[in-house]
Amino acid sequence: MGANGTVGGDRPLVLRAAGRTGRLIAGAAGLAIRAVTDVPQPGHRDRTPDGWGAPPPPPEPGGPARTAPVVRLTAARLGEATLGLAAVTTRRALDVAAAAAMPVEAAATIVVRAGTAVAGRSRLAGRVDRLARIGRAEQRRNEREAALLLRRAWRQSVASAVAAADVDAVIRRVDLDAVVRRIDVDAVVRRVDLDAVIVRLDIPVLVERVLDDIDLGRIVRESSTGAAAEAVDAVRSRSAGADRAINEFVDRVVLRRPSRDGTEPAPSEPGRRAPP
Amino acid sequence: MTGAGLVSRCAAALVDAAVVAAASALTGFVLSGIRYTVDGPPFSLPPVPGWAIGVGHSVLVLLYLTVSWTLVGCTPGQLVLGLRVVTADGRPPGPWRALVRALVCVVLPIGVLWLLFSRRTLAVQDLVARTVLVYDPPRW
Repeated sequence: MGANGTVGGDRPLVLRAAGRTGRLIAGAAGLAIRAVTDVPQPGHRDRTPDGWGAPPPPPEPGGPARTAPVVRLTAARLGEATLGLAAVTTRRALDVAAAAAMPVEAAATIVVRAGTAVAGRSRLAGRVDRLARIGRAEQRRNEREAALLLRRAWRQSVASAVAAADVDAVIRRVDLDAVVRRIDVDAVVRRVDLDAVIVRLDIPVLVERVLDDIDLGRIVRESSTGAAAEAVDAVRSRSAGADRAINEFVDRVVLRRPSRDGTEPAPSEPGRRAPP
Repeated sequence: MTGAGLVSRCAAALVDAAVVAAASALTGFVLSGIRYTVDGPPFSLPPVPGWAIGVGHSVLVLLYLTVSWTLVGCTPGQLVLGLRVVTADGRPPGPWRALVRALVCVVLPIGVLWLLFSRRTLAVQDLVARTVLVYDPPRW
């Protein structure tokens, strides 16, 4: 500790904290004593040359009327002496502790290193490591489970909140038409640089590819084939219908017998009557 | 198995007749052209007697029908009308069966009218050759 009574910065943190604590305790005790005893403050003229309050003059031997102030003054002086003793004791104790801290720290370091070395030599380190691994794994598992629990709880809360919320009502309240009306599509289109897009498209290559994909010959073939096929199909169906009509006529009118197999007229065909 | 009706058969026969007539006319014109080239004018069809034309056309039709039914199962006319000659097992007729059917067709063309009275709509050539002319439009 310095000469001005401040706590030195070269002491360990524990000792500094202890010194600060003792100083606070002593200050609080002094304040309490002063409040209780109410020592009269000396005037400016009673100061010593170094600024400290001058001690009051010694009591004059006198009558009983001055006994009480003398007693109070004596008590205050004794209290201050006690505080001084406490302060000195504290400083000494702190000095001693600071002096003792260095060798204690060194000894602790030596003990720890020696213990580490011994543990490394023996199988103790392996056991410690194993235990540490187990502990670490357990801790990871705990963390996982905790995270899982938290997540589940979060999801459940969100799900319950969503379930409680009336989404339809929200959607009903959102006026999408108004939102769309507020969007200026023309402005958006104006901001698009169509020329750049067209330049990047490489139209001639695109057209060539499209023309390659379009097999005009195949289209012509298919269309002409389709037309011919339709014509031939029409001829076939008409001739088959005529076949059925003739067979029906012969069976019913000429031979007066039931219709032959496989020539039943379609019910929707006109000019046919259902068999009686 | 029920056979095709009268209209389909007649239409197919018309197409076949047109094909055979076209082939015959083409042959005649080619021969006339050769003769015109060799002998000079006048240009005229070969002086073939009527019976020779009849016999020749009959043989031509016989070959035409037999080859068509044996190889494909239908003549060009029957192909257009969607008809096909099959035997009882559903396959095209063999050459002999096809020849018999073609002979009956050529010798007794009127026999096709029997299908009006047949319960299975079979013509005389079908009964003789044990074949059926069925509707079988090919899928395009």
